[in-house]
Amino acid sequence: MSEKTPNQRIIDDDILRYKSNKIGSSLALLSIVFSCLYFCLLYAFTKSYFATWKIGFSVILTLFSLLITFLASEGIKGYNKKYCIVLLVLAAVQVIRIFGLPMEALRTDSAAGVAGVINEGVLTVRYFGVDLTPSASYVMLVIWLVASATCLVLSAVFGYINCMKLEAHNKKVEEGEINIDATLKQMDEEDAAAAANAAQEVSQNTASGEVQ
Amino acid sequence: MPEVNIQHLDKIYDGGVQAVYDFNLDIADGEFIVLVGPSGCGKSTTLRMVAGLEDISAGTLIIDGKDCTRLAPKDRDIAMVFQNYALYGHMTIYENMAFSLTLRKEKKEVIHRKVLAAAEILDLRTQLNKKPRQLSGGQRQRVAMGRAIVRNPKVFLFDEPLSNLDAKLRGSMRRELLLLHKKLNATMMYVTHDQTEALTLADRIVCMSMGHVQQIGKPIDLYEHPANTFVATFIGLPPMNMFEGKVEGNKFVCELFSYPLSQSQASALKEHDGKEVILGVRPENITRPGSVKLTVTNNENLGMNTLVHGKVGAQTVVCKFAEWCNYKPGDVVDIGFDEEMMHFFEKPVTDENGAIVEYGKSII
Repeated sequence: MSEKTPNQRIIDDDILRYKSNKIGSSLALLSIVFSCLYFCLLYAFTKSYFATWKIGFSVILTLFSLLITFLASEGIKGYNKKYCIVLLVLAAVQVIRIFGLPMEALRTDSAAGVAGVINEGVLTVRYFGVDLTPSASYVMLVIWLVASATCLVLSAVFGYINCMKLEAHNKKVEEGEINIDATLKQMDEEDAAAAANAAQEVSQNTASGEVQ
Repeated sequence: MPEVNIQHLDKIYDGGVQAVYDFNLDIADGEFIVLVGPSGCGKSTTLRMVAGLEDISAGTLIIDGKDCTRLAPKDRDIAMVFQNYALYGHMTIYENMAFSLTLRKEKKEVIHRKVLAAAEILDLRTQLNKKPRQLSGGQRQRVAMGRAIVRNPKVFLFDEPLSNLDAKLRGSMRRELLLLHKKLNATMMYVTHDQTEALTLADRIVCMSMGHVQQIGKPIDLYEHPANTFVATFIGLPPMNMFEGKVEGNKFVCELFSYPLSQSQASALKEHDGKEVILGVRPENITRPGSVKLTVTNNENLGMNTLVHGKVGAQTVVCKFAEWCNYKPGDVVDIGFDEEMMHFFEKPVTDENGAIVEYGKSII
């Protein structure tokens, strides 16, 4: 793939002015999907030793994080870089959650032994039609949380990069350092020149072919 | 070669209902054609057949020399602007305008260039980063037009694009459309039921009723020389006053009054002597004084002119006088008709239920 010319880079940056920050917001929304997969699994424990205040707290935390993630995705969509911090905080929360209920599941699992847990029916998980062992449940819980946190971090990073790009571009436009109309005109001229050159080459090749 | 060539187009729906009968039209390159008529006359159906949104039951459609009768809409190289804008609410104006080009997988720079150029033409440059809900109706309609412009189609189709706007905005958008047509010099087909739009925008008007083309011509032709009673009453605001009567030698006689005919009128109506005809006179062609007694029912001063509504016998008549008038209800005004601007039509043909089968043709 050929490298972009400076004019093409200017146009790429200029396009950001008129388009929403999709990659940032999409990643944030993807993190919501992983979050949902996480709590679907967590609340699928049929005979759970988590049926305490911890579950209540977990539900509230989940709802809260879903709401804030959605708001942050909307914020980042509009190139508001403040929301990058919110996304990073949310990512940290997701990571910390690994050491909460999932870790407790693992500890219980280790103490009772896998066979014991299954036989005694302490922890039975049916997840999208599949029976999971406690350790597999633990692994999956951690995967979803990590995936969600990763998406949030990436969303913050890409969002921030685009915000900075746009900010710098707007500054240049405001200061008159770059002129979009002039750039487009220049690109038109370059295209026209390239087309003329190509046509000339074709005619030269034809002429030399005729001479031979 | 005409840009669009429509030959013997028919539309018959599955139930057997025929919406369009034998529609023929050649549209030249860069021409602005307006299809006008009342609701249900088949104008939108015709446009949708040209767009490919309705199947053509019979006839041929040729766009720029290519037979498009059975071609899919995407292959016809046309762009359509709808009454309800049909914008994507979750996309910015830029994304809305760029959408069709993105689907075509055009280069980003090319899309950017085209969208900015269209936005410049439509004065939307500062609105590109907004969402449709943040714009006014007029601006949204301009976005819909911009979306059509960026595609650089062979033909633009407009299906009542200004009907959702308020009267003031409609006026300004009408002027913008006219300027846009001049700038782009594109071939345009425009459907409306608003005769003001038709008269101001069109290079040629196609006036339709009951699925049939009633007259095709320049706006001034339709106004000054209507082909039949339908065109005469549909085009013009207020509509033409119609009096049913008979030709008796050098006179037009109806049950309310008799009116002398000029020598040229009498000779032109010679064949209709003793037969029933319809006299049509536009409100602005009614003069004072005259031999017909008009009893005023309402006086509307519009500033530059006055619309006087009244009755001649039981028939309602509207006059337009180019001055400020202060008639009171019940006043009797002597009116006459501008000899040069009197229209005579044959009587419409009706079926046994009294429904019009064929409008009365123009005699003079």
